[in-house]
Amino acid sequence: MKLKVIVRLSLKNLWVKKSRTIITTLGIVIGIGSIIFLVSLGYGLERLVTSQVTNFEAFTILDIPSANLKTLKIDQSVIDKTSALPHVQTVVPVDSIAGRLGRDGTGTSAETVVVAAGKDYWPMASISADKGSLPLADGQAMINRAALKLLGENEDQVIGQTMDLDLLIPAEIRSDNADSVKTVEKVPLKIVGVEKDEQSPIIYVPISLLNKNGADKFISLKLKADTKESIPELRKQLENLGLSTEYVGDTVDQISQVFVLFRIVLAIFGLIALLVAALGTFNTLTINLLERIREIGLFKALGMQNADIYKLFVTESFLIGAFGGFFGIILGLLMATAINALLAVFASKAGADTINLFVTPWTLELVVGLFSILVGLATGLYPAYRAIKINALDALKYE
Amino acid sequence: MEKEIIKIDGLFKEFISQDKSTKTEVLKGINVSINEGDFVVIYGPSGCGKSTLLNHIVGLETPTKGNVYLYEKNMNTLNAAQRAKVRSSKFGIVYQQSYWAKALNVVENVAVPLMIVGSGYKDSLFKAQAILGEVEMGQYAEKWPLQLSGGEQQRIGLARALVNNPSIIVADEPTGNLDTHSADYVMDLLQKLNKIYKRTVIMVTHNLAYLPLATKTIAMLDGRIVSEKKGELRAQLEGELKNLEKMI
Ligand SMILES: Nc1ncnc2c1ncn2[C@@H]1O[C@H](COP(=O)(O)OP(=O)(O)OP(=O)(O)O)[C@@H](O)[C@H]1O
Ligand SMILES: [Mg+2]
Repeated sequence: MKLKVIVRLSLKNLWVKKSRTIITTLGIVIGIGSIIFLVSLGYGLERLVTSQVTNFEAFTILDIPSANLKTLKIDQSVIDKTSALPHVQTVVPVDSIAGRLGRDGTGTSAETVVVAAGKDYWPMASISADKGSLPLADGQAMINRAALKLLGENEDQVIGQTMDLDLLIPAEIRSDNADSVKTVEKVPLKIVGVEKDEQSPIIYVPISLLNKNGADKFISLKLKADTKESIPELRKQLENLGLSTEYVGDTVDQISQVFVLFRIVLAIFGLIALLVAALGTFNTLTINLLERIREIGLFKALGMQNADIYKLFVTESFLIGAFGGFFGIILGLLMATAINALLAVFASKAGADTINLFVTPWTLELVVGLFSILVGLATGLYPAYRAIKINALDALKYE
Repeated sequence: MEKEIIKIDGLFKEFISQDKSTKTEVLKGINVSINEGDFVVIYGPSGCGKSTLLNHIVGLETPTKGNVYLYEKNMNTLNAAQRAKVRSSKFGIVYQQSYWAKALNVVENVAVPLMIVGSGYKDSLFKAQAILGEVEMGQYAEKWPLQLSGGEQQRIGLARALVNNPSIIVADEPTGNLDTHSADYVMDLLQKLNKIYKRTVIMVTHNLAYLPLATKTIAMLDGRIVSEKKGELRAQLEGELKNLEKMI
């Protein structure tokens, strides 16, 4: 028989038992819908957490810390060597030392961390100016809110002011072989920007400020690769150079593993719903079969091949699975979108950033859709097998 | 010389009950030969094995012993799928009772044999509609078969048996459930198919009034053929009938 004809006959059989078909399919729709809904929640939560950790750009960035390096201090020659590696776009140094920030005339001062870095460092480290601009030129500095608070300064008036910074440069980052900390007092800096962090006081300055004062080694480097894909190879090469690397992807991988587990747990809840629906489908198909025993006898007497009878039954379950999957995915997406939209409304009212609690990758839709069809087919196999085992003459006598 | 299309040779059939405790021998050595264009009428008391014999001819049963040849092909050598194929291409089968696919309307039911042999959906319906016209049931095409009377259902059953243009029509008590008017219609049609369209008809009946239509009559009793009359019986009886009419 032609497959098209078989599909048509199957559709007619399903259509004749409309309410039964719809209720059965609805079961699959709910099962598939809950899988999509729950797993999307899993993806959404993961996205929320990992986006806190990093942005997309961060996946092309490697940190090269010197903290646990005994033999090798990072200096300009290391920067030159690493810059020369293939796939490396930029390498920027960063130092972090202690400092004391004060204002002429006011007498107030505050201990702060001084972060000194090349101008490409700031975007790579996701450090930005909430007000004003980044400290890109000599003599400029950006201060964070925590430091402002300690100094009792007003963030609206501080931009454009000059402050004095005492630098405490440790021996480790100098090459002058002196043991002690080198103190450079009252370096005047023009505040050009305010950073939003309110936790611990930090002042951001260009790396040139430290270079000029004898610091020619770096606490760490940030390295930007051309693509995420070149990271593994780069890490190997850097390790061959005796450098250790830190990668945000490592952390994200760990988080992802936790979320894979979380999604599996959510999917299992959905699967339970689907399992119930599959039992319902199986039940419906069995009832269909029992009601059509004589019809099967007739078809066999008319010379229909067992293979075609088998297909006729399996097609019905396939269609239930396919329709159930299709509408189930739509249901899941609708629920997810509705809640996302609702959250967006609340977020905009509260003036917060919009968050997507539900994220549905198209691969999830594809996999769940195929799975639904598979479940449909699987439930149809046994009734179809029973159908072909029926003896035609017995079936014609069946009441 | 007429062509022999069915030959049954020493056919035995034994049914074994499900618990395997009892065996019933239903056919006990049947030998029959049927020629192309024959109108065979098989009769005999209930339970003597008539339906079982027909089921062997169409390949729905397999012999315990003996052979059934169809167009010189031994049906024993065919598997179930091959026998199904023979059924769908060579035979049109009519039963006493009508059987329907409940999800299909009249014309779709009639079209099923065409779909079975691989025709497209639309083509099958088109041909089925034409054959419904032939049995004067064209206007019932879109109805559900079970809504129709027994006589109407039997006509549709005939249409379904004929839609594939089979060379052999097998009818098991086709008029058994019908009133005289409907029965006459069915018999007229079978006769027409035999006489005009040269179809071979094999019919089982309890109604001895139909014997005169046969070119061959087979009387069965307890799994055996007790009398087989060939040839000019129909002509002979037709002649006698005319004489009777004259006398009246
Ligand atoms: N599958 C079967 N298993 C066991 N016994 C069977 C089976 N099919 C038929 N029989 C028996 O075989 C005998 C002949 O049956 P069959 O249907 O051929 O009779 P029949 O001549 O057609 O009778 P009727 O005129 O009542 O239709 C009956 O006794 C019946 O009970
Ligand atoms: Mg019978």
